[in-house]
Parts: sequence; structure tokens; C-alpha cells
Amino acid sequence: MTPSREILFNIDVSEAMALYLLMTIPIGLVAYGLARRVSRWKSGRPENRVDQIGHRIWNLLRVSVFHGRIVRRRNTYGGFMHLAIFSGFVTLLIGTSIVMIEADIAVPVFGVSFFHGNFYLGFKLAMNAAGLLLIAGVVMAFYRRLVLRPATQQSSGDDLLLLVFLLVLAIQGFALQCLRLAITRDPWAAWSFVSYPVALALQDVPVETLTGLHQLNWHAHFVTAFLFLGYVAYSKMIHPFTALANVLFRRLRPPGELDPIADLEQADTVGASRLEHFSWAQLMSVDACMHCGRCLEYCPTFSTGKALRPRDLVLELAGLQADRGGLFSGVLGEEANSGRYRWGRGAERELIGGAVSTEEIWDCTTCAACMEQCPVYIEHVPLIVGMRRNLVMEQNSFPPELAPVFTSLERLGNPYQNVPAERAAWTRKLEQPVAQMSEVAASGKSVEYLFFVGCIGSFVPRNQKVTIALIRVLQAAGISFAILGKEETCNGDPARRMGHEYLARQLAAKTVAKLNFYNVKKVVTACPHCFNAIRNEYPQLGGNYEVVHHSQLIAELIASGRLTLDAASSLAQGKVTYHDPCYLGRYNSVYDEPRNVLGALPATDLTEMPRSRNHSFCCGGGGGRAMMKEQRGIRINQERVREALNTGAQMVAAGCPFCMSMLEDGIVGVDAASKLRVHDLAELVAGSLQTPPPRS
Amino acid sequence: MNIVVCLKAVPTNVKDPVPKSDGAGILTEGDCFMNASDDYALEQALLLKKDFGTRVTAVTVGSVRSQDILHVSLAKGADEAIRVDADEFDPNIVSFILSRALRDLSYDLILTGVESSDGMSSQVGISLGAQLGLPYVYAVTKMAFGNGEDRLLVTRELGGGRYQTLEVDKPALLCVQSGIAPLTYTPPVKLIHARRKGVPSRSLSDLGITGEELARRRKTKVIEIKPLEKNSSTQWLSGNPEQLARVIIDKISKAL
Repeated sequence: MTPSREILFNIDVSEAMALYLLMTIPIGLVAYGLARRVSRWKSGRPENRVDQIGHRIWNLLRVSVFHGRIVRRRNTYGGFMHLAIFSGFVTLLIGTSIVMIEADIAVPVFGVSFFHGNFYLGFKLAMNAAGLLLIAGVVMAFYRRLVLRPATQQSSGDDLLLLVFLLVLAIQGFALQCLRLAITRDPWAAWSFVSYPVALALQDVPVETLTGLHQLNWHAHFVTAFLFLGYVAYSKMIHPFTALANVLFRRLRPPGELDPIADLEQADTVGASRLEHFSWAQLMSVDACMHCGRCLEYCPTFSTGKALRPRDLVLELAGLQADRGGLFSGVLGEEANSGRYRWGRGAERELIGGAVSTEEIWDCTTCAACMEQCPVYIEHVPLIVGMRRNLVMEQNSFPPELAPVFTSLERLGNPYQNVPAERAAWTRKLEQPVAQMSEVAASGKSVEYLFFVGCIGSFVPRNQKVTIALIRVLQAAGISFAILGKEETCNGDPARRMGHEYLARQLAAKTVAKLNFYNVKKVVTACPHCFNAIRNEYPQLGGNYEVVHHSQLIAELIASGRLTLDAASSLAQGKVTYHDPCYLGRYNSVYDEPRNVLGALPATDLTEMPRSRNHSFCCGGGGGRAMMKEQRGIRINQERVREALNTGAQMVAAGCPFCMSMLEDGIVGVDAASKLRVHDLAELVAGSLQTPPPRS
Repeated sequence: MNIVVCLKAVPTNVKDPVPKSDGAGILTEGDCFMNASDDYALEQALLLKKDFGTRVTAVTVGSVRSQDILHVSLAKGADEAIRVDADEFDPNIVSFILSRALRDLSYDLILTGVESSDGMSSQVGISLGAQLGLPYVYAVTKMAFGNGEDRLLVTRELGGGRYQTLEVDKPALLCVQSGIAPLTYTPPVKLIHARRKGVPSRSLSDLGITGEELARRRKTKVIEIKPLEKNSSTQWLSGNPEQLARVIIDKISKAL
């Protein structure tokens, strides 16, 4: 006898068919819900997200379906939990479809049957495994939501209802199988390894009872599936559609590049004060959020009690978008449903000041920890900068301490109200003079690198030491380079991140013009903010250069033997930990070179902080925050300093002048000046140079 | 009521300024910005506009490099802006040109700053008041008046930390002291719009001014410009906080 089973066993076929027809209602609701969302997205501004389609599809499979971005080293519990639910659910869904294909298409239409033999046995095995996986995943989820309760997760009725649905569906499925196996005494029952033992236990129950229970359970399973499907469009269960769409149409540009405002000079409104001012892809992205809370795990504002929580900001935007869609657009949930969704309420709310507070908008350090963590590529920073742009440029509304910064950038080309003529004053402290680009050009010579010093490295005494140290290193390695000197101005990054795109563009255009005038090919800088802007954003203005961070250049010089380091350094001694600057690490994936440099220092021992590399914790100074007051919660820099102290290191190595000043400030703040020092990589290397350059 | 604010664009980002060959001014390069002191005059005028719905007209005498301060004025809220196209530096001449430009305007109040950062003569405002035959008050720190009243109550700064309050007939010219009102940032979008729109300029001949008239009034000549010589000496103190405090107290008491 060939192994098989009767499909729709114990069920009246015509009734089943009628019920299947009913399923078009929830399917229609899903389609309607999706169509509403798509129409909302279409109200956004145009943006090209359909290039490189092959790469997009591969990435979609890799990061979502194959869980490349869901199961991550730092997110194993949630990752495997999702993998279990996902693989279980999808396998069961495919299994159900296979049965449907056999019963409704293959046999009646083509007269072909495949639901028997080894296929059938394997099917049984697979479905049992899948059911078990699904239940295991759901149990893990319950355990996490009800027992573990991570701080980054907020459980609403919606979240729990969804789990209940999945659990009930799975249990009902198993119950159906147990009852059928018990009734029919299925000879292949053992292949259903989960149901089989239960079926054996049920064999003594009268068949009539079992048959009745089977019928009841089948109908209950149908009702559950019916409700679940209808619920999909109005809960986070829509995420298989929205999240996949967002992963497929994700932004493929470098994360450190903010999109320019295309028609800045002509626009009547700039930035985002209404949802429609975001691009369609940004509007789609907020609907992709299923509140996993990973964005909060390394978020400096969440961890220190600020107003901004990137997840909530995204959900507020999603909620506002749902409001605009009217009834059946939001999610079934209570007032405090983490996303604060509403059913067709609050359509009159403003974006800024209503859905999102100005405190939230200004709290962001643009460190991109949220973007790095988000499994579905929601880009929080551009959303926030979009709103900052509107606040600054249109509403003239920003923290008051920024007005002198903007004015100084406009008039003096640096944020610190320093006189431009003094920009190269630090060169007086050099032992060996450094060439200036204007002299180099006048003499008809050329240099390999332009050393872009940056404002903080030019004007702030502590950071001038780093600049001088780097010059010593470059000179020792015999690198041919020059600086712009008094001609250098701010690259525009702080203004850009603070939302003043107009000012940023003026500053950037000035620098591009200067660099192009001197025909610069390679740029080296000790500031990751200069580095990121020149590398990733200057191409927008016709500035294309090979840009390296000094850690990359130094690592290369050490590796190629052009720099020899000595153990007798007084500076680079003992246990050192490295703080990854966001604009170097997360934005530009430079993680190894700084560590290679530290590894090459003979007398130091590198120890990592728990939050390092792409999971680094921001110093609190990015996005212009270094120039703003930090009024709420714990100081971010002090939080980071405590983490560094806990490693037992005596020194934090930095690769960013802003990180350096934030961390030094934090050390003073937690009264740890005797325990911890901050030094830039360049200082450590300069202090360890075997043959210091001759003193003049 | 109408207010005219007289503004000057000054170069802030100057490398090495040199006198013009005829001594009639300074040669500079780079961008020009609103003279800091005049910024306060504009701010005060716009405050009055906010309170009384006054009409504010911004006027400057300068080359095309000066026009951006008028864009800034418009972006901040001025109703009209006029640039007289003349690259003049001598305060006698600038005030004379202004007096001619203002002949065609109606005003109840003229506001200026107290000094310019590049010329620092503090003369233009006072001289303009004299040429227009208006009462003028220098270094105004406060002003109060009701709409439609003929008189102003004006407080001005005196030396030695004293203030003087005056009653002044309208129309009057007030040289506004820096700090009279907190400066606001220029709304960028409005600035973009103002720059796009541009401002009208009037030539000296439009105002009926001849070269002779100017030559007659040219009384000063710039001969030389030198950077400030730094001759202060820095002493680095070392020691523990107590010792440092003693040394510092000792030094202060000697100096006193």
C-alpha cells in the first residue's frame, strides 16, 4: 500500500469549499491594507531606489529570508527566535499550499497526484518539525517578552496577541493530526513524530468522540486562520510585506552620505515638516518597523535617558502616516502601544511638535547605531536630519547655542569664532616646517597628499597636539604632503548634520573649489567628520578624491616598514582600549586599521570595550551635539568613559578629535583623570617613533 | 511709522588689508558681512516693527560686495532695501551720500550702529544726523515710545557705568549701542529667497551727486595698516593648586 492520506478527512467537502471562499475576505483586507499603505507612500517625494536590481534581490534573500541581518552575533536569542518562527511558519504555509495544490489543482485539473509515497512521508516529517520549530520560537518569544523583558522591548497587547495567534494555530494543527491519526490508525503515523505519541494515547477514546473533536477543531482552526489573516494587515504582522519591500528598496549609497536638497535655491519649503516631504522610500521605511527595539540597543540617547528613542520616532511617523490613511489604516492596539498607533485619530497632528518633539530631533548624535542595528534597513538619521533641515532653514528654530556656531561658520569658516588668519598658527610650534598648498602650487611642484587639518585640529590647543603629532609621523615616514593653511575652511559637516544644508553646501563648495584648484588627488585627515564628508559627500559637488583617515595611512606605513616604532615610548604604555568613532567605523567601516596601529605599538596591550566596532557606543559629540548643551539624562560621554574604565585600561585611544574632547570632558566629569587618559593614535605613534625627526 | 536703518558691510575674513593707492579706503578681498554694531540697529528696528508694525527700510552705501547685508536685512524682516553703489570709506563722504539717499525717503526714526569694525570712526551716524538737521543720540541702550507720539524716551550709555535718559523729538537719529537686543539668526530659507530676488541699487548720479561734491568732502586719507603687535608675555606657573593660588594672589596684589 502506498503511504498517503485522505485530504479533508472527516470534513464535508462542499462546506470546506464554501469556507475557503470566505477566506477571500481577509485576503481582500490584507490587499486593501497594503494598497492604502502604498498610496500613502506614493505621496512622498521621488527617489531612485530601483537601480542595481540584481544586487537588491540577492541582498533581500541574504539579509531577510536567510536571516543574515536578523541572526547576528550580538542578537542570537532574538535572531534564532525569529528564525524558528519564520522557518516553521513558512514551511507550514508551503505545506498547506501543497495540500491545496494536490486537492484543488493537480488532481481535479490535471488528474495527477503526488501526495503519496516517500513524498508524503517526508512531508509528514517536515511539517511536524516545522510545527515544533514554530512552537519553540513562539515560546522563546513569550519567554523574552514576559520573563526576560529586555529594556529595549516594550510589550503591548498587540505583540502578545500575535504570539497567541501563532501558538494557537500551531497547536490546532497538531491537534488535528493527532485526532486523525487516532481515528484512522494511520499505518505511517510514526513519521509524524510529534503527533504520534499523542495519537497513541488517544486510541482508547471512542471514535465518535474523536471524530466530533476533529470536526470541532478543524472549524476552530479555520476561524483562527481567518481572523489571523484579517489581522495581518492591521498589525506588525504586515512586516513580511513592508519589511521585505524596505529591504528590497533600501538605500544603497554609503551610509555616511546624506542626500542633498535637489532644488534648495528654488524650493519654497525645505526639509520635512510634513510626511509628504520625505521620499516615498522613507515613508515606506517607517511602515517596515516591527518594533524589535534593536535600534535602541546601542543608542546613546536611549541608554542615557534622553527624549529620543529611534524606534518610537519611527513608530510615531508610522502612526502619523496611518492616521492620514483613515479608518483601517492604523493598528489594532491601545493608546500606549509603543508605536502609539491610533485608529483614524489625530490626523490633525503636526509632524514636528506633534508626532515628533523638537527635543527628540535635537537629541540625535547621528551615530547611526540604530541604522547599523536595524534588521530591515530603516535609516533613522536621514529622517531626523530631514526634520532638522526644516527646523533650521525654514522655521529658524534650533537650540540657541547654535546661532553663534552658524554665524561663525558663515563668517569665519570655523565653528569656534576663531579668526581665519590664525588657522595655521599651530605651525609655529612645529620642529620642521610644513608646506602650504599655495607655496607648493607657486613653486610648480606637487605633493602626494593634502593634509586636511580641520577646525578642531587647527584651533583647539589639545587637538593641535594631535595635528602636530601626525605631522611628525608623516615627516618621519617621508610622506610628501601639504596643508591648506589659512585657506582651509570647515568642510561643512557640522552644519549639514545640524540641518543647515545651505550653509553646509556653501562651505563644502568652497573647499571643493579649493581642492580642485590645487588639483588635489589624495587627502589625509585626522578627523573622521572631515574624512566622511570629503570622501562620501564631496562627489555630490564634483569633488572626487582618494581620502584616507590617518589611521589607515599610518597602518599602511607601519606595514610597509616606512615607520619603525620603539618600545621606549613614555606615552604608549600599558593597557589601552580603542574607541571607535561613529564616522570612521559605522559610516566608513574602518575598524581594523586603528587596531593594527595599536597592535604595532610595542608596549601597549589592546583591550576591547564591550561595545566596540560596529556596535561602538557614541561619545555623544556627533551630529553637531559637541556644540550643543546636553540637558537631559546621564551624560553620554560619561557613560562611555565608565565603560572604558571598566576594561581596566589606563588609556583610551581615539581616532577622532570630537571623540577625544568628549571623552576627556567625560573623564573630568566622572572624576577619573588619574585613572584614564585619552590619546589620539597619531600621538601614540609619534611618541613611539624610533628616530624622532631632527630638532631645528 | 517708518524707520530707516543704515548698515555697513565689512570684511571680516581679511588676509592683509592695504590702503588704496589714493588713500580713499582699504583694499580687501573676501566676503563682506553685516557690521556687528549695525546688526543691533537692524535688530532694534525689527523689534519695533514687531511691536508697532513699523515699516523698516535698510540702506547701505557700498559696492556690489555689500549687497548681501541687504539680503540679510530683507530675510530678517526689513520691508525694503536700498544700496547706493559707491565704494567709499571716508565717514564724511558716506554720511553725505546717506543724507542724499534719505532725502527721498520718509522716516520718523533713523537707526545706525555706533561704529564699524573696519573704520571705527564712529562718525557716520552723528554726521548724518547733523546733515539732516535731526536730533541725534549716541550709544542708545533703550528706547520707548508709543505709536503716533511725537516724542521718544531714549536711554543712552555714559562713561563710568552711568546712563542718561533723554526725551527726543521725532524724527530723530539714534546710534544704537551693541547689545540693545539679542541678535536673531537670519532664517536661511528667507535668505535664499532674498538672494534670489536681489536688491535695487542707485548710483551716485541717480542721487544727483557729482564727483566734485565728493572730492570737496574727502578730508581723510588712509596711509598705513598694520597688524596688532602682540607684546604681552605669558608666564607658565607650576605647582599644586594652593601654591598656584598664592602666586596668583601675590601677582594681583602687586599689580594693584
